This record gives sequence, structure tokens and C-alpha cells, in this order.
Amino acid sequence: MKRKEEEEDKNKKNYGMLTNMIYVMKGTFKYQKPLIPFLFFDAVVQTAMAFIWLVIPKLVIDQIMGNGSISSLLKVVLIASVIELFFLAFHQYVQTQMWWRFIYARMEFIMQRMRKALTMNYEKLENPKALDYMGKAERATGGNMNGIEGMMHSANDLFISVAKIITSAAVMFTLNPAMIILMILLSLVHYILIDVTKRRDKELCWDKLAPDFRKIYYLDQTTKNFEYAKDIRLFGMKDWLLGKQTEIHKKAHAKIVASKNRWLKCGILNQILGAIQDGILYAWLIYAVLYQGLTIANFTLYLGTVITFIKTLSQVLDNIAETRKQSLEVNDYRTFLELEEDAMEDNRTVYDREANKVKACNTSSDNDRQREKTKDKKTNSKVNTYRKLPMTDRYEFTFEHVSFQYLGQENYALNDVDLTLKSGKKLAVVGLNGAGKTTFIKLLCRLYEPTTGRILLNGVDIREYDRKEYYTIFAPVFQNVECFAFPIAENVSMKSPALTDCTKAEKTLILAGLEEKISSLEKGVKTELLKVLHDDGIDLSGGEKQKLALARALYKDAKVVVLDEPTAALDALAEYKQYMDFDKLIGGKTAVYISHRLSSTRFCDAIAMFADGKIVEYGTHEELLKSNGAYANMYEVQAQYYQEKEVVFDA
Amino acid sequence: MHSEEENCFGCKKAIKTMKYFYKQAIDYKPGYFILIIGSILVSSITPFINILFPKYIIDELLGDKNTNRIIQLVAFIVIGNMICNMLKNAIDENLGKYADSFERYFNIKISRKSIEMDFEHTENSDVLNQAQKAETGMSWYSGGIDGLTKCFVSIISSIITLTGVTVVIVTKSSLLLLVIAITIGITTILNAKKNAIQVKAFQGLVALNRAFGYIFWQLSNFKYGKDIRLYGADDMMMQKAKDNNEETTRVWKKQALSTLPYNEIDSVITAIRDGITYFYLGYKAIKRVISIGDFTMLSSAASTFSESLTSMIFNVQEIHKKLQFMNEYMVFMNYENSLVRGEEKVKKKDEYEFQFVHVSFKYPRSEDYVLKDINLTIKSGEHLSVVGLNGAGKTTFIKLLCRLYEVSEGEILLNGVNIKEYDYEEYMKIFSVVFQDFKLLSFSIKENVALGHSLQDTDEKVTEHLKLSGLSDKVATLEKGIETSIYKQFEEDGIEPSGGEAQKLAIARALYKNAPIIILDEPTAALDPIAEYEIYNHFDQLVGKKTAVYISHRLSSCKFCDRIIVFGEGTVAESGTHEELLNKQGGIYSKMFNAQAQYYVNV
Repeated sequence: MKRKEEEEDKNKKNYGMLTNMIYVMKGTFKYQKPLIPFLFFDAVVQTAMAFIWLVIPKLVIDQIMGNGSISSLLKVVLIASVIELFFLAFHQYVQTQMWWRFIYARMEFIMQRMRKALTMNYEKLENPKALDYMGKAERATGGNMNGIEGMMHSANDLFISVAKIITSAAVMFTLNPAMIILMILLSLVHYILIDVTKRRDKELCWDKLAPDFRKIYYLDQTTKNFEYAKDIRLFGMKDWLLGKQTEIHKKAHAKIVASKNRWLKCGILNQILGAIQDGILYAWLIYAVLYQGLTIANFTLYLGTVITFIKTLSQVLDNIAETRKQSLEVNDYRTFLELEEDAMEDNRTVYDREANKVKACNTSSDNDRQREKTKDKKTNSKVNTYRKLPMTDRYEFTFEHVSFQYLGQENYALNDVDLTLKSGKKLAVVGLNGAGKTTFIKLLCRLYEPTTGRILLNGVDIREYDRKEYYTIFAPVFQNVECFAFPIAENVSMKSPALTDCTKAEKTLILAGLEEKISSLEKGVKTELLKVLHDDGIDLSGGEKQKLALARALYKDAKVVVLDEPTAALDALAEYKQYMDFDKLIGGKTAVYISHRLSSTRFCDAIAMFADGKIVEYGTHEELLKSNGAYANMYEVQAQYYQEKEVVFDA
Repeated sequence: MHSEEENCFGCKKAIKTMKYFYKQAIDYKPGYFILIIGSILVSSITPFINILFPKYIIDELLGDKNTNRIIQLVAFIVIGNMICNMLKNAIDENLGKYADSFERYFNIKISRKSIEMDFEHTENSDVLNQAQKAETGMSWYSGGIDGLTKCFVSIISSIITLTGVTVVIVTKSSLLLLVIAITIGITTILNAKKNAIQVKAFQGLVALNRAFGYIFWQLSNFKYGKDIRLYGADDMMMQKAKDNNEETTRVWKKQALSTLPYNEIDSVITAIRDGITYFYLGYKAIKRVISIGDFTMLSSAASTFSESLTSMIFNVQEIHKKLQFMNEYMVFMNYENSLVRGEEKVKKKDEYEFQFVHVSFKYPRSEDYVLKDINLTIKSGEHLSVVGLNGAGKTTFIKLLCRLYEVSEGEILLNGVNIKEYDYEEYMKIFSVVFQDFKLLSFSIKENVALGHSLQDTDEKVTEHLKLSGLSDKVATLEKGIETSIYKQFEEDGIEPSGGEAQKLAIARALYKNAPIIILDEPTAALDPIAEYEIYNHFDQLVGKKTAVYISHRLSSCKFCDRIIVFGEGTVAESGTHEELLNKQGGIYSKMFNAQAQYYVNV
């Protein structure tokens, strides 16, 4: 049966707009407490400032109309100016205190996402859906106006707008309460108009374009990607690729044009609506002046107030769409962050369920009870701490009926594997491409969890250990060595500068055969790698990277060494030397060695030959050669080139 | 370094950049400029409706109270606003269409340039950087041509509005103009000071931002996942992130606090300006020099004046910044191709003989020769194996042969003619290459093999070549056969080929091209021994009578070749058949062979 990817509905979070706003603001305030008072004062000051501009002219006109004296005019203007100054100054101060605090808070949100990405179950990291969630979570934290930070600003704006609306409504109330309702109704019509257009636009333009965006992005990236430069030139792909790109851009452009036309029509209707609103407003105020004795000073005051009211209201309504978009992005963020909160707990429940399988009755009520029980256990085990790693140098691993299926795959990558890896012994894992060698290593290192079966460390299921602590057992060297744009010493220690022992790093680098390289560098082990962050950073060659990885493993000095095809890219002499270096690393430690090249396997205490996810042969090199099976055949296919006799592969 | 560039970016360069873009825009879409003029007109006229008409309404309300006239005035103001807004909206949407066109136009131009530029540029990290700068320079900050135009429209319409408002103010009270002008002068000086602080802060942030991008975004990449987990490096990364955030915030905070005094001075100036304006206008109104209508008109004219001026100053600074970003695109487009591209046609015949005559080569911007004085003939139909230690120059040799780079010294001849003389694209046609780091595309298997070169019975030919390269079993299991897409970037239901399958596909692609010379650069590195064996076994079938150059670490392949060339330290160190080279005591080849063979000898 196919191992199903988790249903989208199960993972995808779907919180409401307000819930998300509260979530974001709670986080924001947690990281930046001072924002609470600043946010409040900002709303007060901004509202006050909006009205000061309306009240000052009114007061001045009152003076003029009332035939006031110059000195009383002066007094009014002076008081008004001082108040204005006070608010302006305060406003500037609050602004100074706010924007960078928002950015700080966003960074904290990004760091949470980052921690999740760095520590979540590795298998998820290879799962396209989880990667998709991660990408979306990144988008939700990218930029000041998207998702998380956008939501902060939206909350801020909403707060200010509500304060302004309440104040202007209160002013309007003194003249004619009915007018408030009329203006709200007209604004709602305006909102509905925009909303309908937006929905139509989404349906007819953006939803239809969605698959094209992916394609456009791919073509844009590929044509500009210099890694493709050789192939594009030598296979003459220019016209073909550019043709594809132009064609799809044309298609997308046509949709965008249609969308703009849609908004153009919507705009015309909106302007008519706005004119009606203005007309009513003027008619009402002029009527009040002519027949209800409204003074000209108050006429200007009310005119300004109603305009503020309308503007703020439609702003709030317009922002709803934006906030909704941000809320969806916040959902993306939360989806990723809440993705399978704790792998260990989940796996433990799976394990428990299996243990209880025998007595499990399949009536639905029983199932429910069972679920209740596992739930209880789940909460219980959360309180329980993980088991401590055994305090010993002797680590023995046992695979018990371990099977593993990749997500969405029909076949088992590993099928019912039983194997014991004894302490201090060296195991070679060999087999054809796709036989399950790398899967085996990933399960051993707990980058993957078995689909069924279990792996024991000194007799205890490895899932009972804290994953992070379990990782300390291994020192791996992979085929692709990833360098980080940090100093060499930190690339070796994989620890922050304060925790890095530079002398030890240098010693291991020398052991790994990089002495010459290090001494040729002016800054030695403090030299930065890569040019991403430092223009004077250096790039290492393939061979040097391999040696760096070796130094990394030496520095870690872990109990179990794992080597995953570390010599594939090396020439014959370098490969030979590398094998000698590995001996230094391994010493008397437990080691697992994957290789295509059977040449290395002869040093190992045991060889496990994988085929189709199973161990088909197991034994020493001599034993396996004698048994004349798959391993012997594979060996001879390679060996023939180095011997004079011709060997024919027996498929 | 960045600051220097910023300072250097003067008016002259700005105008040059502007010309560069608008010249292309007018060639591509002349209609754009009519809309721009419309946009300027509408934007500059609209404010006057709301400055002038309320005055007449108020004067009428305080004077004759003629209902008809009032209705007329209100109709003017309401309908005038409506029409202006409609026009503005219509123009903006249409400008948006053009903006979309331009964005795509320049985007594809960058793609074309990336493809057409000399290969040498693509291996230069400066060019790579510049390509990224060109892309971001045209999008996120500048907003491309559209962003530039918006600034332009705003500046010109601000100037028109300012002129109009000045006329209004001068007719009634010219003193006001002086007050506004002085305060704005001071504000401009304050702005310049604030800008200086900001620029300084940005400089301090360049390195931090670079680190931010790397730490906060790139380190989450799954390719680092294994190492970060197994080496417990997450704490280190999080610490780096935390330090970066604290440090960045410190810079922001400092910037915010050091601009605060200037902002506060600005507050004082604004309050004084408003106070004087209102007092002065109120005074005039009390003295009956101006009417109440004039009072409201002038106060709104005064605020329009300062708004327009502020917007103009802002946009002038903005346009300068935007041009600076867009200039990055210009720099990228101006990389020159130096590769000599002749016009000679490659004569279609069966004989292709290459000769390297005293060829030396060093990479651009490098002092060291990678290849030194290579003399070599590749006979037509010869199967040549190229071996050597890592970094001995094997791949460079191939790059020279394929004309991805030009030789530094000496010459390469094809049938006696220097390869420079040949038409570049024609010359490319004679090679079928599988590079070590070949790239497949996220299209269908068929497209990956045929690459848009459709022939009669393409399908049959593709299937045939897939069979040759050993992929037909795999394709047979696929529901959509050769129409199946690979990778998921383009089609969501694409399949993920394994390393070995991808390599076989790349081989099929090379065979399909059916070029007279086949070059295989380590084609079996990702294959297991059995798959490797199969490729070797089919080698004659794959290559046939064609000329073939084969690079490999695995010396096992050499037995199939007519001749082996061993590269050592940039020269041809050894040359001969397998047997000849093995018998050469102390030779590189025999050393390498024995290093591999020792694991197999005592069976």
C-alpha cells in the first residue's frame, strides 16, 4: 500500500483573521513589551492630530465671524499651535520608538521558523509538502508588509482607524445621527463593489494564473541560471527556451490586461458612488447652513469631519482584504510551526499502538477508547523526560524487522531488515543504486524513523532517547560536503565562536591532511569560507572539502563513524590516500561504510549486500566471494578491469 | 565600497541611465508616453477643484445665498472630482498594463543576455553577482520603468501644481509665500541631515544584511539538514541569528534616536508655520482684507503648497535612488562578448580532425596557467581517453575544445582551420557532450532528449535513444511514457529521476543530437558498478564510428579507447595505449591504475 502523505486538511491551519491578529500581537508584545504603551499612545496622538487640523480653522473662523479682536485671535492661534506642537513632538517620538521594534519582533518570528527548520524531523525536510509549507512560512515573514509584520501594522492601523471613526462619529452625532448610518451604508456598497471585483479577479485571473506562475518562475530562473550555461550553449537551446519563456509571459500578460480592465470598470462605478456620497454630504451641510442656522465655522468643521469619517471607514474596509491576505500568510506560518509538534511523541504513540495491536478489538468504541488512551499517554509522556544515553563506550545497534517507505511511494525502500552492528566493528554497506544503502544509514542516524519495526541501541528503542542527544553518537562524512560561510574553525567545530576550540580545530585539520592549506592562509583557521559574507572568504576544492569533513568528524570525536560514499569525486591516488586518512579517524571505533567501490570493503569486519531494500548477503569479504553470489559478481565486474581475464556479468 | 559607488552616482550617470531606459521604452511601446502626459495633466489639475470651489460656495453662503448658484457650484465640485478621479483611475490601470509589459520585457532581456553572453562570463562570480543585482534592481526597489515613471509624473505635476498654487496665493497675500518658503527651506536642510544619517546607517547594515540573508534564509535549506542535525549545529546557527538581530536592531535604534532631534525641530517649524499662517490669514480676514471664502481657500492652498513641495523633494531623492538600482541592469547588459565569432561554415563531411598547436590557457583574472603548451591531434573516428589527477586540467581541455573558452596562446585547428574562424553556433553543432555537471530541464522526457529540435518521427527516435542509453525499462513503467515530466518545478506530477537515471537521460540527449564528436565527462560517476558495466558494454554501440573523447577517474574505461592521454600539471604527461602506459615504470597512469588495482589483485 502507498504510504500516504498527510492530508492537506490535517496539517493546514485555518485560523480566523482576528485569532491570527491576536496571535501575532501576543508574540510581538512578548518580544517587545514597550510596544504596548507606544501602540496605545500612537492611536491617541494620531486621532488628536487628525482633528486638530479641523478644529483650528473653525476656531479662527469663529473669531473672524464674531468680530473678535486681534489679541483674542492671537490667543486662540497660540494655544492651538502649542497643542499642535505637543502632539507633533509626541508623535515623532512614538514613531521613533516603534518601527524598529516591529522589525525586531519579526526577526524573532523568523528565528522561530528557523529553529523549527533546523530541528524538525529530517524526513519532513525532504518532503515536498513540508518544504512547501516552509517556503510559505518564509514568505509570511519576508518583508515589512507581508504576513507577520504586515499583520502587526494592520493591527496598529486598525486601532488608529477605530479611534478616528469613533471620534468623528461622535462629532457627527452632535449634528445628525442619521447621517452616520447613511455614510456607513454608502461605504459598505463601496466595499462590496471592490470585494466582488476582487473575487471575480481572483477567480478569472489569479487562480487561473497560479500554475503559470510556477512555470514562469522556473523558466525565468533556469534561463538566468549559469549552471545551465554549458548545456544551453552546446545543445543550442537558446531559441527554444526563450521561445517558451516569451510565450508563457505573453499568456500571463493577457490575463493581467483583462484584470486591469476589470478594475477599470470597478473604478468607474466607485467614482460614481463617491460622487453620490459627496453630493449628499454637501447638500446636507448646505441645507443646514441655509435653513438650520449652522455657522460657516461649523460648516467647515463638519465637512472635514465627515470626509475624515468616510476616508477612514473605506480605508478600514479596503484594508480588510489586505489583512485577510496577511492572515492567510500567518496561517501558512503557523501551519509550518505547528507541523507535527513533536516527532518523538507521535512515534511513541505509533509504537504503543503496535504493542497493543494483539489485544486491540476493532469495534469503533474500542478504537475511540484506544485513541483516548494514547492521548493520555501522549500527555503523560510529555511530562516524562527522555531516557539518558547509556554511560558506556560500547554501543551496539540492532535492527529488528525494520522497514521504511518514503512518503507517497508504493515500494519499500527498506524491507524487513534485521542486522546487528557490534561495538567497535566496521560494517560495509554495498549494493546497486537504489538498493537502500543510504536509507539504511539515515535510519541508523535517526534522520528517518522506521515505518515498521524498531532499532535498538544497547537493547533500548532509539526513539526513547532525545533525538538531539542521540545525534551526538555519530560522526558522519557524506559525499557532498557542505561548507558554511563562517571561519574554518567554526566549520570544523560546528559550534558558535565562544564554544569553538581553535587549537583543537587546527589539530584535527592537520590530522585530516590540511596542514599545508592552513599554513598558507594568512588568518589560519580564522579564515572565512565562501564569499557569501566576506569578499576575502576562500573556496575549497572538492578534495579539500572532503578533508574538512574529515576534520569535522575528528573534532566531534563521536563513538560511531558513518561514511557515505566519501570518495566518489576523487581521483585514484586521492581516493587511496583518503582511505588511509579514514583509518586515522576510525581507529577502534564502530564504523559504517557505504561505497560503490568495493575496493574499500575488504578492510571491514562485515559486509552487508543490499538489493531491493533487503540484505541479501552478509559476511566477510572472503565468505561472500566464496559463496559466489551477488557480491562476488559485482566484485568481479569491477575487478575485471584490473585483471587480464574477461568476466561476463551474469544478470 | 558601496558608499563610494553611491557617491559616484552623479547627475550625469543618472541622466544616462534614464535615457537608456526611456529610449527602449519608447521603441517598445510609444503609446506609454501619451498616457504619461495624461497622467501629469490630471494629477496637477485635481487639487485646484478642491482649493477654488469651496471658496465660492462659502462666499455664496455668506452672501446672496442663491440656491441655483450653490447647486451649480456643488455640481462643479462633485462632478469635477468624479471625472478627474475616473480619468486618473483609467490612466493608472492602463499604465499598469504597460508596467506589466515592461517588467516582462526586461526580465526576458536579462534571460537572453544570460544565454547569449560569452560562456566565460558565466563562470565569473562578479557577473553572477551583477546578474542578481540587475534582477533585483529592476524589481523590488525601483519598480522598474513604472516605478521611475511614477516618480517622474509626481515631480512634474507637483511643479505644475506649485506654480498654480503660487499664483493663487500671490494674488491674495504674497507674504504667506515667504513664510512657507522659509519653513520649507529649513525642512529641506533637516531632511538632508537625516538622509546623511540614514545613508550612514545603511552602510553599517550592508554586512549585517548580507549575513541576515544567509543566516535567516539560506541555512534552512534542506541540503544543510543532515550536517546541522548530526553535528548539533542548530545552537550555533540560532546564536548567529540572535547576534545578528541584536546587532541590526542596535543600528536601527541608533539611527532612529539620532534622527529624532531633527524630527523634533521639524515639529517646531511646522507648528510655527501653521500658527503664523492662521494668524496672518485670520488677521487679514478680521480686517476685511479678504473674505471668509478666501481664508479657507488660502489655508488649503498653503497646505497644498507644502504637500506638493515635500512630495517633489521626496520624489527627486527617490528617483535618484531608483536610477541607481536600475543602473545595475545597464551594467549587466553591457558586458561585452570578446569571443571571436567567425563566419566560416563547418563543412559537412565525415572527417573531423582536431589539432592543438602549442595551446596554453589561463583563466581570466588568474595568473596561473591551467594548461601549458599542449600539442595534440585527435584523429577523426578516434576514441580518446583523457585521465589525470583532480585539477590536472582535463575539464579545461574539454572547455577549450568546445570553444567555451578562447585559448590564451597557440591555436586549435579543425581540419586545418583555426576554430575561431568558424561560425560559433555551427561549431557548437558538431559536439554531443555529457558534462559531469549536466543539467536536465523540468520538462517531459521527450523534450529533454529532443530539446525542441523536432524531427520527423521524433517519438520513435527518442524512444530508440532512450533504449540505447538503457532507460527504456524505466520509461516503460511510466504511465505517460516519454511524455512524463521530470522534476516538479514545471509540471506538478513530474517524477524525480535517480542520479543514474538522470545520467542516462543526459546520455540519450547527447546521442539524439547525433553530432560527429561525442564527449563524455565522467559519465559514470553516479552509477553503480553494474550500470557502469552496461554503459561500457554498449560503448561501441553508443559511439560507433564517431570521434569520442572520454574523461574518467575510473581507469577501467580506458581499455575501450584507442589512445589514452594522461594530464599532469597542465601538460600531456603521457600518451599511448593502456598496455604501453602500464609498462611505463613510475608513470602517473601506472601509479593510478595500481592504486585501484591493488584491491582486486589477490583474488
